[in-house]
Amino acid sequence: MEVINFDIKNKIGVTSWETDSHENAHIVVNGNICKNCPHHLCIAGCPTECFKFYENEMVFQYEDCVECGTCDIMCDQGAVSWNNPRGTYGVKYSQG
Amino acid sequence: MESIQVIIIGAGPGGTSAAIRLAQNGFKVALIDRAMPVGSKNLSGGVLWGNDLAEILPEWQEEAPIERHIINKKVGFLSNDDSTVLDFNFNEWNSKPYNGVSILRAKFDDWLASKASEAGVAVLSGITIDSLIIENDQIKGVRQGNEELRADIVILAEGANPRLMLKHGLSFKGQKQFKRKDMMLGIKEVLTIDQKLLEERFLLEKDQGIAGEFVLGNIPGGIKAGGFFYTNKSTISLGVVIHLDSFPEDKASSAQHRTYKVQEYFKNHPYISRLIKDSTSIEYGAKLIPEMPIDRFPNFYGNGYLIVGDAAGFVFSNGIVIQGMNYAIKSGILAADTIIEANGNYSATKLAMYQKKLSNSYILKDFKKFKNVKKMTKNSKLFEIYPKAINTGFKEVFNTNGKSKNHAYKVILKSFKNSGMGFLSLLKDSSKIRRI
Ligand SMILES: Cc1cc2nc3c(=O)[nH]c(=O)nc-3n(C[C@H](O)[C@H](O)[C@H](O)COP(=O)(O)OP(=O)(O)OC[C@H]3O[C@@H](n4cnc5c(N)ncnc54)[C@H](O)[C@@H]3O)c2cc1C
Ligand code: SF4
Ligand code: SF4
Repeated sequence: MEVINFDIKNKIGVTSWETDSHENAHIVVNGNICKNCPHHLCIAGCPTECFKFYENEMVFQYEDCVECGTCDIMCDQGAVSWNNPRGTYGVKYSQG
Repeated sequence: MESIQVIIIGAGPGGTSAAIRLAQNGFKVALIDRAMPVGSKNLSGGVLWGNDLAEILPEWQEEAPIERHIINKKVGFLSNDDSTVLDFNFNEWNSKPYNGVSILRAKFDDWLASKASEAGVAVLSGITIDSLIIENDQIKGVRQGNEELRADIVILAEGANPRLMLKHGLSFKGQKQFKRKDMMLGIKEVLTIDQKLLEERFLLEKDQGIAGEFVLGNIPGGIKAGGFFYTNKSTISLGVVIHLDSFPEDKASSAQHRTYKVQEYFKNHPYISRLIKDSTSIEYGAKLIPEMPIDRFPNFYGNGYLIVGDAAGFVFSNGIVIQGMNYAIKSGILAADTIIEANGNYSATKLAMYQKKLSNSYILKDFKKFKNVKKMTKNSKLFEIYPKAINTGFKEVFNTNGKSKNHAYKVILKSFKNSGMGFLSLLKDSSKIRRI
């Protein structure tokens, strides 16, 4: 089935964001902890693939985040610090 | 902004319903939401079931941005390529007050907030509350950056990801993080489709709509999920609800499994792909859905605060339906009534009245009555075995294959047996299913 190689990044282009600057990123991931993580469940859980483990480094980018909070729940290693974005910033649904 | 009596954090259906009820009773209320405009952070399936809103807005079904009223409900079991779908049609659902209406939250929540404004509520949008002001063990107001806003009482209506409750230890046993077993992830797309085509394809007349809900037995890796679609005016809301504790806890699995792939498996199932043919995705989003059992709900009240809606855990799901908006509205109204009756005394002792109101309403009655159904949705047989057994069984009943026919129930039972289900555990499960 074509699902195996499905690329989510092609899909989320239809959703809108008002992206805040990097120093105001609402989620910060401590990549040092990820190196020893037994499960990487954040990667499986994130619905917009903001987490990628690449050459033994966790690469996190907050820009495509839809603020669901899944990564905070999947990570039981204390690597994710999660805040709401500042007012008006972040995902902006026109349908919902 | 002087002399605000009640601050409500979150302008979803829970917070806004509380705000309207309070303003209608003369209270000065500030309703604060981080989204601008209100509703632009929110997402539901979404069918709003029931008529709770009529308590505060008797004419809401005339005025609200309703997409369609639900006249047809489908409940289906999908296995790899096959499906068995029950089709319920209730003529009563075609007349007002409607039993259920499909809505899109960005429009609906904005409309509901405008009703709050009309009732005299100060609606402050685009403001993220960072923390609560707590003095002498009593909540006194809220903070955003260096700014403070104080009030006599605060209603927490933050929704499924209640950062303030987690931060200040107001969640179950003061936990700072939810457990995977207590949350599901909902993923949803809105698909646009020609209105005439939609009505022809789904056999709908003007303004009539369908709610379809499915047990997904076609997701690899043992991942448990349900799927739904709801018809809007000229779009279809389509999504999945995924049990976060069904992902295996190892790196090799995480390299492979994705929540968003569950949505693709659902969309690619032949039963669904035929229904959404010639549609185009115009929005993709995701949100958590609380799934904790009643014994892991938070305390619903304390000194200077009440909790309503998703933040309190009030979502009912049994693998076949998801309902949360109606509970949010009802609990919002009950929280407002508690404040009205508390007469200015907002100590925990006095606010205990809220718990009583919840217990006497359908809210806590539902959660108590269906306690075991919640366990049922954690039963992997519901996802891994039932859909396949049901579909294989019915296929054998209907297939004309030159063999002599057997009684349908015998064939279905045999199909369950072949799938490794003992007769006793089938009986045990079905006694649980009956409660759904
Ligand atoms: C995919 C999916 C499908 C669903 N389908 C259905 C359905 O068909 N029918 C149904 O009844 N229910 C459905 N639900 C559940 C339903 O969405 C919720 O139960 C409902 O939205 C709860 O309402 P609420 O008012 O408690 O919270 P929400 O609607 O989540 O509102 C919370 C509000 O608080 C605001 N907020 C949060 N924190 C802050 C802060 N710190 N400062 C300022 N503002 C803040 C948010 O912006 C938001 O507007 C579905 C859920 C999902 C995810
Ligand atoms: S689950 Fe936590 S520790 Fe593990 S990889 Fe993800 S963020 Fe890092
Ligand atoms: S909050 Fe949701 S969308 Fe954002 S990074 Fe975490 S899992 Fe991904």
